[in-house]
Amino acid sequence: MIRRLLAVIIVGIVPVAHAFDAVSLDIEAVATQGWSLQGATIALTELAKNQQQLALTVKTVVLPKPLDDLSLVNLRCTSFTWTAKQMACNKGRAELHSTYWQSPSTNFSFQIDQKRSTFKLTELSLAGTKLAVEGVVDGDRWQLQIKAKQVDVAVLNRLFPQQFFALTAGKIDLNLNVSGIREIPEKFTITAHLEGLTGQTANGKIATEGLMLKANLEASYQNGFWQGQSKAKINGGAIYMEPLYLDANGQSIQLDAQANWDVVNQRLDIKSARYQHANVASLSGNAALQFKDGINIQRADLNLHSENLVPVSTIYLTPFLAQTAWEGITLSGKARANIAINDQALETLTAVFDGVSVNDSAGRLHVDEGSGTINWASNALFNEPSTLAWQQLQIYALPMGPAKLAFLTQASNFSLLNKPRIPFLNGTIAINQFSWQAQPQQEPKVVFTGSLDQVSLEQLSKALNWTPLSGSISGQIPKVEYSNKTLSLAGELLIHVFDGVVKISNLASSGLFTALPKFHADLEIDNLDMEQLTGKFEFGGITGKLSGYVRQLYLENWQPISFYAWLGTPDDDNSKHRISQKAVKNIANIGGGAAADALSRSFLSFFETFGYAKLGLGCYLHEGVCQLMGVEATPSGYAIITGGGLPRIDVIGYNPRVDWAVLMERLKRITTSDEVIIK
Amino acid sequence: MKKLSILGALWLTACVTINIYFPAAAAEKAADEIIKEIQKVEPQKSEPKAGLSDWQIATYQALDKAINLVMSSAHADGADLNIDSAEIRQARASMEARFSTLLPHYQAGYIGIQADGSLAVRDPASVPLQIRNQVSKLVSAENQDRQALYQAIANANGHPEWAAQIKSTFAARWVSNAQSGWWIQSSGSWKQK
Repeated sequence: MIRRLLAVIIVGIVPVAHAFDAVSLDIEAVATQGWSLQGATIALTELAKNQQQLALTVKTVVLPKPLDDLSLVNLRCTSFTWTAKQMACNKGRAELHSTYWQSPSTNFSFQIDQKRSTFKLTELSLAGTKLAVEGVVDGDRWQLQIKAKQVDVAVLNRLFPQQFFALTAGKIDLNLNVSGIREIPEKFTITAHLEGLTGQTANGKIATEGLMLKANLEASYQNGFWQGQSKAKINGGAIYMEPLYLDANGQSIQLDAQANWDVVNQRLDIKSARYQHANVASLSGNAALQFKDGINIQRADLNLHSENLVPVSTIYLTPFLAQTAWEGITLSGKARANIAINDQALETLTAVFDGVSVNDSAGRLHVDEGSGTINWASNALFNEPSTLAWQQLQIYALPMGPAKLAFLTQASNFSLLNKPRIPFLNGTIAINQFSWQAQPQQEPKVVFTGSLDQVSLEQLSKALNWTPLSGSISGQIPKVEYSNKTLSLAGELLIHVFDGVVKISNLASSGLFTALPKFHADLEIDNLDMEQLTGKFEFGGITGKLSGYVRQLYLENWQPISFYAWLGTPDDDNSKHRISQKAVKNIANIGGGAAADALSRSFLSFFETFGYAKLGLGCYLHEGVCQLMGVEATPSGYAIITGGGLPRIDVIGYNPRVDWAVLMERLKRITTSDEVIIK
Repeated sequence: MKKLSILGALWLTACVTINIYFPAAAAEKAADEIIKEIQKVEPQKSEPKAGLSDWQIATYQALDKAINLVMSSAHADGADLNIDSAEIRQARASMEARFSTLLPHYQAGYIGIQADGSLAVRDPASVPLQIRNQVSKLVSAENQDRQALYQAIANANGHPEWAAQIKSTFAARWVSNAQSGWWIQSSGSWKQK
């Protein structure tokens, strides 16, 4: 039958030496089953022997579609049979020509039956390794199998230059099996072992380094659907997918998935998927994605589980926080979460934390032993409560004791269900109301009311690294509101301290969590007992009362930028007014020097304390310069202390303008040293 | 009445045009000052000595007075370009804080200064994978701050439209304040300073 298909031109039987030792048949072209053999010569050799050899030489063999990219050139088949129903070459050698494959030569065999034909190429050289290709064509059906071992990807990259992913090192073992009907593939299986794969995209956003990967992908097509399942495991090396850097050394990463692809509707139905980063976290779930006009998540149900949040935060969280306000935040502890997404939007979230600690390298926030359950849903009628508890919560240097919150979160609202009392510096902060409301296209609005009770100033000053103070803060916190990135306090905060009262009003802050926090306040100071106040400073003792104000105080990065302040003896003060020698000297230094000149040093040294009528110092800080003023003007300057009783002392400041930094340096010198001695 | 309307017409036509030119020299000076401050390598702070003797105190006091004098005269002279506002301080504070992290990447040649004064990752593919994200985030954050700084200076001087000119002034100053060994892009190609 085959012979009937052949266009045969017998050019001649070539008689050779040793009469009829061999005969040959030249054929211009053979075409059958999609095969095309051109310039073929069939020779019968060793006629003299009992077993003759039939040899085939062909200039070009083109394989049937869709394998027709391959052509064999200068083919020599030393073991060739040709019967009525079959043409077969069991052992041959040829050059190979292909757009993709470049190999100087290959061993091959083929068998062309009436309906079915097969071919096999072995010893095929590709990218520094040997490759085997096997193909079967049976009517309309076909199958192709490629086996390659230790393919050098760097060579492969030179052979097939492409812009997408430049490969520089590594080896691949590949096993590919594809089958199909006519020109449509219907089923494929790929098994790939990547060893030390190093490469990256041109923009460097995706890269691998020494990647060790074993992957298996199976897919089959039926009635408009591709059904597939894949397993991939990374045992070593690293992957970079901006912004994530995953180092698999010692911690394998595994991704298994089963999915359906709806070709017509461009819909991917992930029936199950599991991502497991050993000793870090696992994420599993299912989802439906639509690939029309971008990727649409129609539905997703995800479960996250981590027994150790330390690597989760350093590997998966830190890269996203880099150069944001939250840079430097790390977590530890355990967590699990369930997330449901419907039509691109989060529908429900349940998260359970246990033994979670939050650390901030910038020292803004610290949570110790946090635990709780957060239940959230987008449904406005959702009413499942959440709880959150901690052993310690620290904001900047301010530590808060253990507390438990019960709250409700739904849609864009958060509201507190209980009225917790949080231990704070020997006293308590009581929260009466706390609510958070997200505003579309705006910063969220936060409202808080509460009270402070007996918060120790001694501990507060210690925590803030101030000169130790005594006394306590109590008072109602009327209404703290955060909206438009601005924190404000409506009403007054009263601090009971040193037998007097400090009243803080018009408190406002913005950019609290930026590199430049800004802070506004007005302070009124009423009748503080100087003896208690100075007793805590290394300033030198003073008795009497002190009143005054700091108005329009403006701090940037906790440094004063401007204010108008006055501190001095109140007019109606009739308490005892004494000042120590050390305090006189220190006050003189604040004033900018030489103030003690009013009295001779020898005279001064006789007395421990002096009486005074009034003392007072004011400063108007503006553009880094403090404009100083005293209790009264004198011809040469301003009086900081006016004498009263005996021995009498007057301290006069001469320099009314002092650079703020210089003034602070002077104060620091005073408070860090008590070695200023009067001789 | 007629007189009044003529006067009025005269008044209307007697327009005075005041041109305010971009103070290029002052901008250069300001740029240098800001860039030097940002790229200042923190010197080892020496603690002021406690327990100063009287003559030392007197000397300090004399110095204070002298400094105050100089300061107030400097304030009186006033630069042509105001570089002090909350927004400017914010951008500067953020860039000063970032510089120590940027410095090793400047030195390693991962990042360089482009012709417009913005930073760029020279060849993203040559940056080690572990720090690639950090470098790219640093560069984009720094560029945001630089842009914010130019606009803040323009705003502080009441001329928001000066931002582009301030940017081009800074562009040259970033290059000239670059340390030797840093990479600079000119007419498309990178060169080491």
